[in-house]
Amino acid sequence: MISTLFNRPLFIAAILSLAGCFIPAIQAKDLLSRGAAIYKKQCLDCHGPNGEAVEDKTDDPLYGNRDLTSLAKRIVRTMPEDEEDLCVGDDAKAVAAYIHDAFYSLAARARNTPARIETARLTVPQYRSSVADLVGGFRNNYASPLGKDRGLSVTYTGTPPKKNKKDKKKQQHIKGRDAQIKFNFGEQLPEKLRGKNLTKEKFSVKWEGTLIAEETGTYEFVIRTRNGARFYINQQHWWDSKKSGKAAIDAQVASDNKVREEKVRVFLLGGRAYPMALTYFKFKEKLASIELLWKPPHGSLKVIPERNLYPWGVPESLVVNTPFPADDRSVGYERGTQMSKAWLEAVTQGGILTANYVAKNIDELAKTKKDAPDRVKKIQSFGLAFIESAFRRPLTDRQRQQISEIFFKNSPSPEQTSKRLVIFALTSPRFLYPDLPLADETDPYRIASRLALTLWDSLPDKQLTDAAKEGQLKTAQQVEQQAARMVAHPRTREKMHGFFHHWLELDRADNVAKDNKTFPDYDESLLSDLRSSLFLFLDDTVWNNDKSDYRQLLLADYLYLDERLAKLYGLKAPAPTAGFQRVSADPKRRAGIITHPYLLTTLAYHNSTSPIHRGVFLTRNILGMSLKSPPTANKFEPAKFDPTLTMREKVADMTRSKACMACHVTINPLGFSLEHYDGLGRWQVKDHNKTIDSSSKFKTASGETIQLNGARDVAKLAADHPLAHRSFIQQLFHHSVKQPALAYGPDTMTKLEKQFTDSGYDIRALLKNIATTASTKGVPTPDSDS
Amino acid sequence: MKRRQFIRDLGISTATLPFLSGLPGLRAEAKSAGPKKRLIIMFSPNGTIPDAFWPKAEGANFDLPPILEPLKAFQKQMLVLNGVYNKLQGDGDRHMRGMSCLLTGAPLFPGNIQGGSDTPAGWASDLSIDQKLKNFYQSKDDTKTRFGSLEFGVAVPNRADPWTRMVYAGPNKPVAPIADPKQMLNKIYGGMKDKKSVVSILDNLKGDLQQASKKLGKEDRSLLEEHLTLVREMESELKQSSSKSKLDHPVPDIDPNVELLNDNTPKISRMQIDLLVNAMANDMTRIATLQYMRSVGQARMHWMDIDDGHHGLSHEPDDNKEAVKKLIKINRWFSTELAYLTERLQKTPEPGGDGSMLDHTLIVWVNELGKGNTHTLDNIPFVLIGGKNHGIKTGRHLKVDKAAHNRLLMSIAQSMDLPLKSFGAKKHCEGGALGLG
Repeated sequence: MISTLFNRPLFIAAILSLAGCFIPAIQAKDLLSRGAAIYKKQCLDCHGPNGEAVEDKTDDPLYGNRDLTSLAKRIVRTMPEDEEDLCVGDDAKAVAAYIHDAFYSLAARARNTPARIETARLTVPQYRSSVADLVGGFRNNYASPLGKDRGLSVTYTGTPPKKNKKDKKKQQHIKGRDAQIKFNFGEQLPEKLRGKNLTKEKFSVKWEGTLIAEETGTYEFVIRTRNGARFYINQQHWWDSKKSGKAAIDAQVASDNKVREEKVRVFLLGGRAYPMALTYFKFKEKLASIELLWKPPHGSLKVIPERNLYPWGVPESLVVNTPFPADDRSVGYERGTQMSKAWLEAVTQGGILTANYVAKNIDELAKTKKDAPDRVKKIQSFGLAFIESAFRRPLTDRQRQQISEIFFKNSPSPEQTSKRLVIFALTSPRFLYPDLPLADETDPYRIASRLALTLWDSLPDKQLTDAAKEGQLKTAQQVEQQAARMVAHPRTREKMHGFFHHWLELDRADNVAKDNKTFPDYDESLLSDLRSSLFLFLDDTVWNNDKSDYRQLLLADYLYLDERLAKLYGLKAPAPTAGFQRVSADPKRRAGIITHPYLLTTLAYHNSTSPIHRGVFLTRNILGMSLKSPPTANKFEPAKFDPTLTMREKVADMTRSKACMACHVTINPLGFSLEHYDGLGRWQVKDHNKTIDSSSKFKTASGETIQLNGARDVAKLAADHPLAHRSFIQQLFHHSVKQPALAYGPDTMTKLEKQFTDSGYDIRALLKNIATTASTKGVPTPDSDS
Repeated sequence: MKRRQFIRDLGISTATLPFLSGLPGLRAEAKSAGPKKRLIIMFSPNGTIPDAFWPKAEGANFDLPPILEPLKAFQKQMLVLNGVYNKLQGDGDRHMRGMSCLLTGAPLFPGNIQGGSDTPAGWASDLSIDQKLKNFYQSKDDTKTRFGSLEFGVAVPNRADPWTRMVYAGPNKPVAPIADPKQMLNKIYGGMKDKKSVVSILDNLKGDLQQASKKLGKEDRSLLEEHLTLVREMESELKQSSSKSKLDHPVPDIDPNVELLNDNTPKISRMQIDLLVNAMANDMTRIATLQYMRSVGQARMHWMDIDDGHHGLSHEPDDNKEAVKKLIKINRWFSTELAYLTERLQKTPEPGGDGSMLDHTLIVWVNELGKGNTHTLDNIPFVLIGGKNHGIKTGRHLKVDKAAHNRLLMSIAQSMDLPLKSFGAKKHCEGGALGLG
């Protein structure tokens, strides 16, 4: 209480001075009491004593993120309802200052309902990655870097013609690399076998390497062939059926030389590498052809592109494909704060699945052999190490003793030991609740666990655990160094994908449908290709440049397109076989994500644009301004308007009432700025034969009115505006940490914002700073001393 | 079968059902109509030695040549059927057609698998009779079972080609037999074993949750407390279900250390037969196949001091007395395994019914060839055993006149209450089901 009294006036002064009008602390106090008095008289009836909204009078609580000036202006303009002249000038400023301080602002809300770190279990993606990495950590070469080469290693095998029955000529093997598997050999030999005096009657091909799954979900793999083929996915000993079991697709027997399609559906975790192989042969059939396709989640069926393939092998991964109930998202980000029977059952089943997998692969994981004299011992020490990894900290001697008492004594077989032990480890709260207060906040293993969850949704890797062991996670600087290393790891990309999914509301794509007549070019594969295009751009911006510049996400004047997309969007096409490439566009026409055709397609009606959807998205997600829900639910029905009106005219007409304009004064100008992009995000100049006008006046969050002339101006606004930065930081924080930012101290956001600005809006640095902040709660930092 | 009975057999309560997912959605309260009927088709490869197989006498008082001798105890329940031909022509060598047309009665697609100098072939162009019957049984509440059919293998190599598959779920859809008893045990009873493992760690889990809970403040504790309550709930459900659950026949003990090696074949064979009888006793399935090796199989039966591969031996001419002797020994081994299967069924009382399980089960012993060294598909050695209720008159040696084996497949279907106008290639169905009553 004492500290609150002491701190508050200073805090207000800081806010007021930010708003541009310097008022000494004493005067601020007067202003507040004046505001409080006016509020009591004019506002409290509807808004309630703490702005919480009085039922039947106001719908939404008086919370928001306008600054003082803008808040005061809004009071002048709109309040009290129907008596707008009552509270103007200094009165309005006083009320604004009072409510801002008492409950309106983020800081006030944080103070009133102090944010706290809630006990949480692993979210579903965290559970799946943790189990995969837990088991993988015991494999050789797990998660080692993949190198730059793409495509698959290939061996073509041909046979010289036999002169007579006894003639046994040696087969010829030609090795190389293929970008993808899509061949129609017809009656010919593959190119690499031609001109070597080999018989056309038979040949075989073997492709092998690694496949990168981009998203978590069910992948459908399809072999299309006239001949014999087998496909293996995530089977590291694929050539040895005793170890790997049968092929995921066995299409070895070809009937009738017709093109057959054989399919398999496999659940894979996104951002991870899986070993794969395809063996193929032709024997005496007339025609030969082979294709390997996939239908990724949110994608359409296509030949697996080169960028998802690597020519070198990796160990297989354990994927827990048990269905889980969805995590709670009620606060705007997924977090593990709900308990249910369905979840417990899923966790138990996941434990069983993992236990059976570990038992099956026990000799590999425990680094022993079936008949090794020390096999039992090896499996026991594997068991202890497995529990230590799962619990993210070393076991005490007493715990070791207990475990050997429970699991090692009187066990019928080492396999049974490992099964029970794995089920125990994976259903234990020590695994499922990663941040239990079993040690204090400065405990290095706890810090390591937080880092790994924040950046990877997973467990600490060996380097991180070693750092904890060796006392290298004591200071904030040391933690930051680890965070910097971890940000560069490919696993962080998957986490960023999740963030983009959330920030850009990509769930919308699941419901996209387009009118055939208006958009004959639209089909499922277009949407799927645009998604690839978007993620190529996002990955490139965040990871491939020296600088990972947030502003570039908004300002870039290029798109990643393949030949078909380039043609459709009227840009210079890359070479037909080149796949996706960076294609420059007119800077006036394209500005980063906000003009990316994928987003524009999802933010549109089936037969037209939708300035309202686009405007709301830009207001909330990109500019970080808050909007209340509409006072009345109105359905926009274009058909009900005069058909000669443009979309802009229709929207303006529909939202012209004062009640609507409270928010549409913000939404509409932003939405209209994107009117030059049709329902597929193509540049258009006319709407109903009228030239499109995408200019408008826009009141920023800080209250100034600016002229917007199209998309690039909106992009510039978001690139430069502190509120947009704050929103970006906050959303990334919540997505990574899954706890409220303010639970890490009232100045958490301010500090991150300053670091963000100082770094030149570096996204990778921001991630590192978020992870450091979230992992070092309670650890003394150089800053906190001053 | 009734849903409750089914669940009891599985040893789980309805409350834990989602916990062991993957069970078919059985409709509740199905009524059993009449006595159960089952079918087991047993396959052994590479033809027979006719002189040592076919009885000289026809009718009821038939003699038992060396290969049939191990079945002496079941002579009354046995029909030896002579004169049935696999008449399918077309692509594929005779081993291939012998195998892949054996239960389908349908020709092979042309393809990329070649044997001998015949044209290459692909898979069979239609489903096999056991799968036809499975579909029929699974379509009716009173005959529906958890698996519908189970495909057992003994020493079947891990390869998929027309010599190695006789069961087809449809055109181009071969079904692989499971040759690993552990895998089969896991398929049938895996969920129960997993459940045991879970139950065994629940006390530790509860202790852990309580301990962790204590470290938390009051507001943080609720999530773990809720978790603990749910664990307790799960525990009582699991305990309750295991006290209620009694399988008609307990899960057989399978030695986990038997490796899938050629020399372990005799052990594996008995394990698979025990599992098969057990699965049927617990009504997991009413239709099963038991496939020994494969067509052209090269099993080396060291356990009978035979070091040569089976297929190689079967090519030896009739005047190679040594080879003939060995082949008789090999085929006797198969009939001994058949006798063991028959005996197991006969000694097991029919669960919830009259007589023995054998009375309710028709066993059909099949081969892909008539004779190994001629590769003939004529006069294939067919033996039918058991099935008192199947309407087949046993205890005799019956000769028919060059009947297409499609007609036998139709008789089998009829005995399982599925009369068919034709099965497989229509032209071989003329005359309809063979009259075996």
